[in-house]
Formats: sequence, C-alpha cells, structure tokens
Amino acid sequence: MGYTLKKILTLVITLIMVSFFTFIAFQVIPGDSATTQLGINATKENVEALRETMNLNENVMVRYVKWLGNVFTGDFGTSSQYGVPVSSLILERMPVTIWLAVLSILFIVILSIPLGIIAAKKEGGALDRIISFFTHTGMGIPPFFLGIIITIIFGFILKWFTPGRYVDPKENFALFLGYMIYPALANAIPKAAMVLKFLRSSIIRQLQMDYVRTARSKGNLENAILYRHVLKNAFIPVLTFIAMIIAETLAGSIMIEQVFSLPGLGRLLVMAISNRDYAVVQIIVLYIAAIIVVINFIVDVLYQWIDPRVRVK
Amino acid sequence: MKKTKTNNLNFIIGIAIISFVLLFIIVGLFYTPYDPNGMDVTAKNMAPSLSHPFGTDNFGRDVLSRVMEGGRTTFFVALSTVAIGASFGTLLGAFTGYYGGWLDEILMRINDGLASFPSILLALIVVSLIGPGKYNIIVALGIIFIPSFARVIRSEYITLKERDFVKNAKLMGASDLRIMFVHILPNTKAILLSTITIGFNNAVIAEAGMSYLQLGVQPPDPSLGRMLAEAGSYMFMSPWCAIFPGIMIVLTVIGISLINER
Repeated sequence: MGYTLKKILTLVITLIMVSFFTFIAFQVIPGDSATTQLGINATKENVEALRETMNLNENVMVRYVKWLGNVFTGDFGTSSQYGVPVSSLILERMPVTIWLAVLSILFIVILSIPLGIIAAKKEGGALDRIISFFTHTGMGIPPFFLGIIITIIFGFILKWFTPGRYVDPKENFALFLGYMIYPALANAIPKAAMVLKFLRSSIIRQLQMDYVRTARSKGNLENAILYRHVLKNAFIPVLTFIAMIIAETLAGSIMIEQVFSLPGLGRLLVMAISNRDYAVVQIIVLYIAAIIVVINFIVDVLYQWIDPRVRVK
Repeated sequence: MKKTKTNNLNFIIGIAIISFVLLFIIVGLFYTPYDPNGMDVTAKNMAPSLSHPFGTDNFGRDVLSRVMEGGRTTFFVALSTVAIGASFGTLLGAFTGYYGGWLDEILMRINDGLASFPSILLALIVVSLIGPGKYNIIVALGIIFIPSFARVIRSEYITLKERDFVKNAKLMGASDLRIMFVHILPNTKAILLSTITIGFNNAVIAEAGMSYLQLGVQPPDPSLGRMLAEAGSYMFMSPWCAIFPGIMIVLTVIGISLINER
C-alpha cells in the first residue's frame, strides 16, 4: 500500500510540474498572444489594451495559478485562429484521436503477441527468419510513409477505401470504422514490430531458465510449459514497454491524422502551431502529457502487483 | 558460432544499403541530372522514364534530382542533430556521472521525465516555441537528443570511475578534467558509437516527420520529408513523388540499424 501511495504522490507532483512547464514554455517566447492576434500592424495602444483584457500584464505565477484553475474547471480560453472556446474544439476533435489510438493498440496486440510467440517457439527456423525480416522492415518505415503506402495500395490500386473521404462517427459509425482501419494499421505496424521483437527475446530468455528445465524433466508438454509458465514471466518486461508504446501511438497519431486527413487532436495541434495559436497548443500538449504520465503511473502500479519482487526493492 | 555469421551478413547488407544511399548523396553534391528546383511546365507529373528515372512532380521538377538534394538536406539535418545531442549529452553525462551529487539527482529526474515523452511531441513543442525552418529544426531535435546521450554516458562514467586505471591516474596527480576526457572518455567509444547510430536513425525519421508536417525544412529546399508532404495532394496522379523519397528514408534507417546490430 505504501508503494502505491508513494506512486500517487509522485504522479501528482509530476502532473503539477508538467503543467507548470507547459505554461512557462509558452511565456518565454518573444511576442505574446496579444501581438500575434493583432498582427504586425497593430498600434501600441491596441496591443496594450488587449494585453490588459487577456491579463498578460500580471505576475507569471499568478497567471499560472489562474490558468491551472481555469483548466480544472474546463475553461481553456479562446482559440485565436478559430475564435471559439478551446474546450469545444478539443471535445469535437477528441473522439477521432481516441478511436485511432484504441484501434492502433488493438492492432498492435493482435499482430505482435501471436507472431512473437510463434517466432520465439521456432527460434532460428524459417518462419522466425521471415517474421524477423518483416519486423526489421516494419521498424524502419516511418508510420507516415507507411500511411502513404497504404493509401496508394488500398486506396488507389485496390480501391478498398476512398482516401480523404472521412466519415463522421455520428453520421455512420460502420463507415467511420471502415475508414479508421487504415490509419490505425499504419500507426500500429511499426510499433507492433517493436513489441514483437521485444516479446520474442523475452520469451527466449525465459525458455533458458532453470524452472523451464525442471518443468521439462517432469515430463510437461512443451506447449504447456510455454503457455502456463513462460508467458506469464515473459510478459512482465513487455508491460513496462507497453507504456512507451502507448505514448508513441498517441504521438504517432499526430502524423497519421495528417496523412489520412482525420480531424483529430493531432491535426488541430499542427494547425495551431503553424498559426501560433498558443491557447490550443498549450492545452493539447498538456492533455497528451497528462495521459502519458497517468499511463506510466498505471503501469508502475500494475507492475508491482504482477511482480512482487519490485515491491521489495 | 551461427550467431556471428548472421550478424556479419547483416553488417555487410547494411553497409551495402548505406553505400547505395550515400552514392546518391555524394554524386548529388557534384552533379544532378536536372536543377532540383527547376520547373518545367511541359513535363508535369510524368511517370518514371529514361529521361526522368524517378518521374517528375506537379511542377515538372525532376524527382531523382530532388531526391539527391533532399537526401543531402536530410543527412545534414540528422548529422548536425546528432552532433549537438552527442557533444552536449556527453559533457552532461560525464560531469553528472563523475561527480554525482544533488545536481546529478535533479538532472536525472528531469531526464527520466523527458524520456517518457515521445520525441516527436517534444520536437513539436520546441518548434512551436522557436518557429519552423531548417536550422531551427536542427536546434529543436538537437536539444531533444541530449538526454538520451547524457543517460548512456552517465551510466558508463559511474562504472568506469571505480576502475583501477582511474585510481592510478588520480595517484599520478591527473586533474579531474584530464581523467574525465583523456582517460575515461575513450573507454566509452563502443557504447557512444552505437548510441550515435541509433540517434542518427531517430533523427532521420524525426526530420522527415517534422518536414512532413511542414514544420521542418522550408520550401524551396527539398528534404525527403518535405517531398513526401508535397506529394500528398498528387498521390493519385503521381505516386512516384512519394514512393522514391520514402524508399530513401526506409533504406537509410534499415541500413543503419543492420550495421548497428553487429
């Protein structure tokens, strides 16, 4: 219990630090939101007036606390490029990114776990070599280029979907999912390759352990050893790796949304960066960062629950 | 025994792939078939042919020439990034690993925190602060690469500083700086090299990604990522504009990782 409490405390401190850094980072840039919003031709008085209404003249710490308070109450400020509340923009875009992430993770699991087990079982065999070739290639392809290849093959040559014709989930959920399969695959394959490689070597390492030899000498079937004893242990290191993969999947969706023109958070972020819409950039960065921190926390807690040895340390 | 054999094979294949990629870039330094930025209205969106082996794009620019020049830009950005990351990271890792103490503690905590964030997200944050552009992207990625180098070098220093040759050097009256950079640093060569190659790969992918989002190298300079972005809207008419620069990226990354696996 003490371990979990300590972890919760670290979580809270990390979240506060992350929020402080995301806030401070956007304060040090030359030219604030007031000057960007009014453009280069604005008069001094106009800028000053807008700074006053945006509370830009107050002390940084005071503004941080106010900003954090606003974030907690769901008031994220106003987007300078769209002129609407940031919260409504985020709410509108969020489902797309979440669905993309969920589908990607689903594909990662479906692809990596069975193939990783097969490759480890047939270590050095022909099947293992073929899988290893694909993992190498899979890891070498940047997800957005994979997206382009998928668009060319499935969109233009096989015509299984129409590139660029995104369907809103509220309109037709089946069509939406049908479209999302391709971006999710593009996002998932390189990460699935990483998980596969990691899982394979983890299983192989476990298979050389003494307990496996004991189990064998007792006359257990090879498959029984693998599924009942080895996998449980082999998944432990993979679990910490999964947190990194989820973070990468979220970040990868920034690129993938661009390739498949999905109206998600990632595209909003890129648009906001090009248009110097800092209210939006700040919130999305904070949002993604918070998710990553929380996932890391969950994995840490799960880890010590699965592997009691960690608690002793 | 078998293991070393396949690893050697990987190494040879890796070297072959990288030589092929470098050939394009080095030849491109002295000669490109066409002007990489020269537009030709009579030759728009042409499929690969003898006069344009990689085809032409929507402005009639020769894709082969642009791949040669773009590959050079991408390599330049990636090498500079790794140079920044490796030199500052090594310095930081050496001092924190050698001296330890509270500064080390704080820096490593920040390091751990940063490590859990995907590099593309951090790069986006830095670029949103300093703005897009070829040199800005080098700075942004360089900063982001520092922690990974610092971490590796630090752990090397922590183990190496307990070794006898360091104690010997101390007894001989060598200064801390001399021990750190003349005695210990050469011993980190192997691990530093492998970190550099992994970093180079990550930098190639990151440059391509940022330029693909139009936040990296700016027009008219071609870079492999930019070419992919520009090909985006014409993918149906001229898929070769995307395929060839993309293949260059993939070959580079696979080649380097094969070499590194030895």
